[in-house]
Amino acid sequence: MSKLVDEGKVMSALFLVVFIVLKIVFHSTSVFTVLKLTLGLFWLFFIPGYFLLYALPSLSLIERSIMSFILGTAFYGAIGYNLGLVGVPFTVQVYVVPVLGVLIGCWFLFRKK
Amino acid sequence: MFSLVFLMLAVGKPWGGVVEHEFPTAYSASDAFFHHAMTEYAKEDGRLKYAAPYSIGGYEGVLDSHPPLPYELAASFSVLTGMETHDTLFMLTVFIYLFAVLAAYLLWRKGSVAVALLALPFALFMLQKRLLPLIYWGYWLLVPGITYMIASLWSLTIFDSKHGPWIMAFLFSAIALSHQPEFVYAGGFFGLFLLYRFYRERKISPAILKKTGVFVLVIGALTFYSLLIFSATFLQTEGYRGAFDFDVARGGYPAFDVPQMGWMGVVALVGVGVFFLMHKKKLQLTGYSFLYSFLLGFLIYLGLGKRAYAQRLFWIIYAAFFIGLALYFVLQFVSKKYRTLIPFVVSIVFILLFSRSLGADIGKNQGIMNEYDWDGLQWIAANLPSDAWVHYLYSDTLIHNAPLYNSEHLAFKVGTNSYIKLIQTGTLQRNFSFGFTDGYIDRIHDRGVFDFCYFDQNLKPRNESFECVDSYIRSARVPLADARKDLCDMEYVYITKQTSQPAFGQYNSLVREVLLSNNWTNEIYSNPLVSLVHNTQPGVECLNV
Repeated sequence: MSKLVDEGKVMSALFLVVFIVLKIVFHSTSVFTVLKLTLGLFWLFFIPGYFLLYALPSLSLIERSIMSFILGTAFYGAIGYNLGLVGVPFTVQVYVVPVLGVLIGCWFLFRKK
Repeated sequence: MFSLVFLMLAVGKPWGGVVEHEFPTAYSASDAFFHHAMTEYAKEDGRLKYAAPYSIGGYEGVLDSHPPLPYELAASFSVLTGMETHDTLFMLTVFIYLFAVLAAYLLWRKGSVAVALLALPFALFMLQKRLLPLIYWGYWLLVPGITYMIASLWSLTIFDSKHGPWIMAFLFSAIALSHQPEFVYAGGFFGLFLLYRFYRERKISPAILKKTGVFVLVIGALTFYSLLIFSATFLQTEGYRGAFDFDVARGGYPAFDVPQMGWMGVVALVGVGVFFLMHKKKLQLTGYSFLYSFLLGFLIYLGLGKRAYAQRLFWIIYAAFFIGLALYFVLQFVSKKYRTLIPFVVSIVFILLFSRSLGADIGKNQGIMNEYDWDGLQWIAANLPSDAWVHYLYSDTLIHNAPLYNSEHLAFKVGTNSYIKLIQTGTLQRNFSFGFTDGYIDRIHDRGVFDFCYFDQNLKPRNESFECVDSYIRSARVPLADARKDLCDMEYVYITKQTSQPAFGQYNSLVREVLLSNNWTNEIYSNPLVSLVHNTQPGVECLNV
């Protein structure tokens, strides 16, 4: 549990950094819109990717942070596309795929314990 | 800090700090609009499987044979956040582009943190003017392909982890679902990696076999359908090119050859020398990964054409490690203390310096779309009958095919050269030559899950006289009767009232005036730039010439 709390702190810090960077880059955009953008990036890509990387416990923090986005987009794209082929619409994919990523990540975490 | 500077230059400045736009912004070539049209159609269709009918001759049920991953991401992000697909597609591509550099950074760090810090600022030169078309012109399948390829090279460092092959499989699958040539290149390096392991260990261990088996099976499962469609379409025409004329081989990509590397190329060459001289085990995977990637750009000499040339556009990322290594080598002579601190400070100074010089070349970029044409196209999409054909007279904005897909109707645009000839006659002519704005030539239709056929006509005939044949064919070209039109035969004519060359605008306006002089033709839409004329009696004589 304490591990999850620690990881939560890391994820919160990462969220804050991404939000600040995006707010500077999109400086003429409202805080609400940038928040929506950041939340979207985290929900679809960063969080599932971060959880999936529990498969690799030896990664450094910087590797986790960078690879979580890359792996998250790879996972979402590959799974989402195949779900679409069998008729699952985007409106469902955007919730199912991230949850699936998180669950698989939890499985890696649970197995490790 | 690097990420902030990169994003500011790549998307912040061109978009003027605004993330949501009324129309596609900074889209500067047809490919960009094409990818957007595919994404938007997928979003409207609810999933990504079929191509937009208005981009493939009006056929329903034609499988989209493009790599699906970028469209999948952008459409999903749009659905989740409510942002327009023209914004999510561009923005996610830039983000993924940034992560190509960051993935490379991770691999550089595997060699040396100090070298990675010194190499990082040089990756900003990916945003030099010559390479900006990678973003603005719409190479939005290639960019993710490269990102996942670099991430896959990094993933070789986790091959021996218990679950490493699963993670690797997702990254390799993402390459195959983004841009297939990079999948082949990454697979090639993975093969070399396994050969090296075999050479070093003098045996193939069951553990390696098991990991490789898992890796291949997962990739197979995730990419099977997409690669099946690819093999039945683009692979038929886009496989080995046998292109030895290098201008042809470049295939529309911006020119980027050895001289364009400039002084960075010289420093990188020194770095390659240092790499071989040092012969450090820790540097090997990183060094050979990027050397391999760099050399891919020379495969044009084997006739691989633009699929090899594309690698040259990323030479700076591949060479940056060697530039960093050369600088690190020099810094060692300056001071052996503070081995990480000095590179850290140097890196920050370089990032600031480079961002200033590169930023001077980057300004706000509206791209080729404007609010009036966008509004006109959206109006057509919302108001014309779905089977209506629209003929476009000359427009500065709409000279490319793909922007017209935003009208969501079959579109024919007047041939510029033939139009110039009409204008040069000095009088209104009645026969116009049009080009059909098709996206690509493979019209593959699924009769069952694994049962495909190909539509034989490029443009779906209105009398439904087309066939779907079993074996691969390139669809027949648009009939002359549909490509050459009498002015009185066109039902909907899209007329641009002002153009950068006044003669075009004047001739367009002349056509408009003559058409509207008949009481059966109406202007059904108008704004300061665009007029849409509806001929309610096509075929009836409409000219008094």
